[in-house]
Amino acid sequence: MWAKSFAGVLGGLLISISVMATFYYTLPLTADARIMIGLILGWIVWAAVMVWSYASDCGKQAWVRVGGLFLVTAGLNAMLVFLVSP
Amino acid sequence: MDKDFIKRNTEAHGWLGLIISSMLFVVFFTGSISFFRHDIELWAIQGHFQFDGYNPAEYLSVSEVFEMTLSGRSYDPREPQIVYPPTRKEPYYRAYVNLDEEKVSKESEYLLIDPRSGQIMGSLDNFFLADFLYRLHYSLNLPLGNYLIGFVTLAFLYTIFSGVLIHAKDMVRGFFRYRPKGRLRSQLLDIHNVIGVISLPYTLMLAITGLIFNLVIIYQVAFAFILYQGDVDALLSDAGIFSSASEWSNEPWESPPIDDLYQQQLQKWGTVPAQARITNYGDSGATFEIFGDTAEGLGGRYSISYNLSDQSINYSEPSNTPNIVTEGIGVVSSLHFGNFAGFDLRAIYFLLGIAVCALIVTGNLLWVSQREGKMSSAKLVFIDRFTLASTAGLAVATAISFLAERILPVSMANRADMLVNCFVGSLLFATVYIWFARNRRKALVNLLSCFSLICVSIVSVDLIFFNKALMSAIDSGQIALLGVDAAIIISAGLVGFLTWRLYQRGKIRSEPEPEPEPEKKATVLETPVLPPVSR
Repeated sequence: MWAKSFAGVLGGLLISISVMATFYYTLPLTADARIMIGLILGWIVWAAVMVWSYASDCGKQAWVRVGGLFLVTAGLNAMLVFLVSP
Repeated sequence: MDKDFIKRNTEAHGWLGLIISSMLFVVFFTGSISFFRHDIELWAIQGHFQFDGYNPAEYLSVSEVFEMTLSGRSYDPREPQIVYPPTRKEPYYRAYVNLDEEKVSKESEYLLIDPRSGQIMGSLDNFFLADFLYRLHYSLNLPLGNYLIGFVTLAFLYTIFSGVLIHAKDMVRGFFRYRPKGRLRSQLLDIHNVIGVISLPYTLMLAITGLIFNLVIIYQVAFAFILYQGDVDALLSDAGIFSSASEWSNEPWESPPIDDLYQQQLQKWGTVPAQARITNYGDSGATFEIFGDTAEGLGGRYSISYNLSDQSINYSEPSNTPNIVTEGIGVVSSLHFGNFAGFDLRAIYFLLGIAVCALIVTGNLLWVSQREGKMSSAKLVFIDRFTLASTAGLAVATAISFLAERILPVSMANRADMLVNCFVGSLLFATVYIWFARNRRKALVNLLSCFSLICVSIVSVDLIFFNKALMSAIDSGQIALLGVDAAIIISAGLVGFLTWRLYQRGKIRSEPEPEPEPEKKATVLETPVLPPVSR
């Protein structure tokens, strides 16, 4: 339970930041609108990752799940930064 | 949905819910009371000070109040000095003075000021109850407690999500199901589910808005470093957060137009500003900020900052180019504090908050009942006692702190500390009592009786010793004193009724059943008058 909790809380935080960054790079809105959307959606993503983490068989699977998702979202952001940068 | 998915989340829902239950109960119990924080503060003040009816034509101007309050006081001019103007509900000035800590040992003073004479009537630091309950709500009155409560809220958001997933299949049918004659576990489950579904929009809104208040720093740092490459000023600018940027010029100001600027805002919005704030008081580099309600929309706030030397504007909100973050935070605040409508909305918020307290208690009792026979009885008894201490114990401690607020002398040194001591002492006393009580049901009945009696005592003290204040408040149309007393007596009545019912049930259960005589046996079976024994 503790390993799942750590995976959910820490992984959830990282994934939520990463997802917020993806929204920030992709949404065709003003900066203030993107910040506000991030402020509301971030918590929802974080708690949703916790749900997914707790649904794992064991702590290891939870870490693999959240780690994998984080790598995917971080990779997407890296691509976006590369594409956006002049 | 996958059965294992639900099963594992049910397990986590139970454990995480249990771990955060005591802190969450404090958050919701004190938070529900804090919807009436302002009224409680008025109740505390108006018991000791009487005021005439609201008549702004007779009052001193804001600049005069600043001057009279600060003269002779060791204030720090570079720090903001704040005056809260009188309103119909609060017909007196209040002032928050930031003191020069190099000259005096105190950091600040919060003063009550006669609006006609400008005389300092007393220190509002002494009336700590409303503020104390509010601090308990958002930080447990602990250093860094706001982050702790932030993570409790995150766990709460998880329990909401997992609760919805667990209950999703049965959401509609379960909503209309209550089995009063079923097993205790079924009853608890039905109550837990129904309250959970009814309060779902409310809990979801409070959890997300609460997280924005307590843990926003995490995303603020992340945004600043990842998206703005460490440029915090650019982030704050995009978020519409400006500072007055006032600088001390070391030249005295010359007749600053404080009252003119104040009147401009008063006339523009048609509402009394909530506060007027001067930084660099007395210096030509002073800034004057005014904050208030626009009485429009869900956010409904305005703020403006002037340079007093030339009346130029540093910032003004709402502006012609509204910022979504500042407007959004305004909406978030209004939703969380329930201040976008009148008393009726706050009453609904209060009732829902108390319902969530019941949700927490039933959750803990469900956790225990699901593990009876599977877990050692010592552990289950511990959870039972823990639940009792953190709920009934907290209620008694809160009632004691209301009584302390009323009966502690206003002139008492460290009155606010004494109030906190009364709260902590009574909570500890209740916990020790629960821990050593043999019969926990009896302990619950005794604690609830205690709560009712304390509530009755508070109102009795008001009627006997503060009747002049009560009459004066009614005469001048300030109903906070009467309203809070009425709420306290209603709480005493409701909890008293609940206690009596629990006592009756306990008495029936503890009485040994008489050996039925053969001829009376049929009569006993035919009259099902006993209420169901739940535990």
